[in-house]
Amino acid sequence: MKTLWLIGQKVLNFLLVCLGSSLLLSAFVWISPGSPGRPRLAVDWDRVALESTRVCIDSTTCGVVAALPPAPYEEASLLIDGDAAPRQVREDFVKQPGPQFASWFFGTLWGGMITGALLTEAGDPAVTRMVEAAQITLPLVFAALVGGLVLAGLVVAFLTWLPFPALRGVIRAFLLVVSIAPVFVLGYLLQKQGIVPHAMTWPVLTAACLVLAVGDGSLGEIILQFEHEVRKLRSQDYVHAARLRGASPLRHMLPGLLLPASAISAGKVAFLLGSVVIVEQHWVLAGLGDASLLAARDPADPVLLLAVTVVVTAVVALVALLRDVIEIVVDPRLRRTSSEAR
Amino acid sequence: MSPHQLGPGADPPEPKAGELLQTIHRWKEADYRLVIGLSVVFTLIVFRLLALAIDVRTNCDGLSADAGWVAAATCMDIYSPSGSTGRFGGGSGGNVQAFCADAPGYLLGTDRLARPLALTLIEASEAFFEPALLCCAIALFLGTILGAIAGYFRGGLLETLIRFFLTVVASYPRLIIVIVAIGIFTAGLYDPGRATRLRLAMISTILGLAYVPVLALAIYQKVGSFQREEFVEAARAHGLSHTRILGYHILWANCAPVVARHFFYLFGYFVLVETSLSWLGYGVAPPMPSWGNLLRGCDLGPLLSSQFIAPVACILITILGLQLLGDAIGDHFERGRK
Repeated sequence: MKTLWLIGQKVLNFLLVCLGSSLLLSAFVWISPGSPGRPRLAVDWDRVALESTRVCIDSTTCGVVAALPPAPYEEASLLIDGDAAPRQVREDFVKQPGPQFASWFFGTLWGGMITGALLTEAGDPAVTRMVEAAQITLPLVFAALVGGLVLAGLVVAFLTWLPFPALRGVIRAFLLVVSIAPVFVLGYLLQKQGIVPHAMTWPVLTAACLVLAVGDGSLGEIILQFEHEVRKLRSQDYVHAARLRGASPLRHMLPGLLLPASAISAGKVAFLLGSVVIVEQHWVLAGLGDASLLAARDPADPVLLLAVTVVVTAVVALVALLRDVIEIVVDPRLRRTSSEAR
Repeated sequence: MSPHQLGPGADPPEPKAGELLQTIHRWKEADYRLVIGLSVVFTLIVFRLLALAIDVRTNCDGLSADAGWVAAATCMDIYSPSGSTGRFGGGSGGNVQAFCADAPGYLLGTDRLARPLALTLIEASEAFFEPALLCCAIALFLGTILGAIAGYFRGGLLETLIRFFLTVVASYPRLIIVIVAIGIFTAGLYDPGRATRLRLAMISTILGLAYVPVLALAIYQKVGSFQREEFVEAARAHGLSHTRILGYHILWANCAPVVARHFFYLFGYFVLVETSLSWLGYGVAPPMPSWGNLLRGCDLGPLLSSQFIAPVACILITILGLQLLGDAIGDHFERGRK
């Protein structure tokens, strides 16, 4: 029961984080020059499909734009159904309030995300686009995460076993230097080895995954954290006792490494989802990172940018939720602390 | 009672700047990380000062002086993200390849715009030096304040709100949030100079804000661990204000290593992000040089060519040196305390 109560708290926190992160980002977009909240002031009269623009001042006075204005923000030629003069129609149209933030955020953005009605600037359904992109990005990121953890685990096991401290230091330093290299540099090095980006083939995906797992300091950071945890665990009494009784210390240390591994994974996912932008650009993969880059190009597509960020943030929060659930299930101290606190 | 006597660092005395310098001069005892890190920082400062006197943009032999940035950018095909299709080996193809030829007679040769590569590398420090300082200032200021308040006033609504805010901000992938900000604030700017300045300002601000949770959580844990320390209890018993205890006795006297460590980490991380974004075409636009955009847009030839090795070495050495310096300074202060 206590476990379910704690997990319920974490799920609520996850939902609040998703809502809060999208709210914060939407507010940020709302104050930007291309805000969806100020369409009337920000209308680019050179680009808008003026032939089909119908302008209404009230329920009775409407007009249809008949010709392009000579310059942005100048008087457009309107065919007026009512009595108002063209200039007055234009001015009143601009003065009319745009959509309210709350209605736009909950109705257009979240409502559109849930129902699938949210459209990008190009007119495509944003959700469909996200699902297609996520099918490439998420496997890549999680494969890189697992690959990085396994690689770091093997390296730490090897370094722990290695009886020469000087050699241990050299190997560690070499790996850290390689790991610090930016992913685009590692990608270029692999490209020079003949793995040319042209299609989603296994060599390309493997190379992309490897670069993501190693580059931008990812592998080095995981190795250092793993080493720290292994050192801490090796000094624990129960590991000493196991060693003295002739049991395998590794077997007793592995459960203790589960929590640090989940914590490292949760911290790394956000980082990898950032680095995947460069990897996808380099290996020409149409994932979430590529979508965000395309959406940021001129003219920017705020809806697509928001949708990408909301999806990516939800993934990060979901992984953090999984970490919390694992902690609650594995670590009995958390349940005890919680009941004492209550 | 002197405030210094209240802290856990009272006995032995806390390390001072003079002692730090003495340590550096005692080569036998000096930490190699400190030496490497300080050398890198010194080199960066020298680069930045030299860059003030250099303008390779007007010294572009491969282009006529009248052609200006438009021709330079067009030949690289990267002045605008919307026009960029160039990836390694792709993009604008033959035209770019023509500028990739190395020219003899210069130290390290020339870059693809026929500029002296050594000078270009030095001038590229302009792309990250001040923006990184701005980024660090934003992150350190907000991160320290938020972390300290949340850590000191534990168990209240303020702590809950701050922690929730930090969790929300930490859930954004930093590179993606920077690209979002660049996309919605700087798209439509066709003047590369203005766009670059605005982008660098955006990168600094957004990256600084995105790094706030990292530092704030570190400070939060550190401040929380001092809550029941004797020197804090003693300060409270002496009637010192919360501001004095938190600002001086906890933050200034005991959290400086954490802040210093994160300053150098963040500076290095900014270099990584700036070069990555410039490589993508979303950071520094030519003809303003950046270590990232020097690596972009064309096949750089053999791996051992200076056009590839020199910018990559600059990036690696800078990031590595700053990380080592951060570790060394943090450890030095921690050792001094123990």
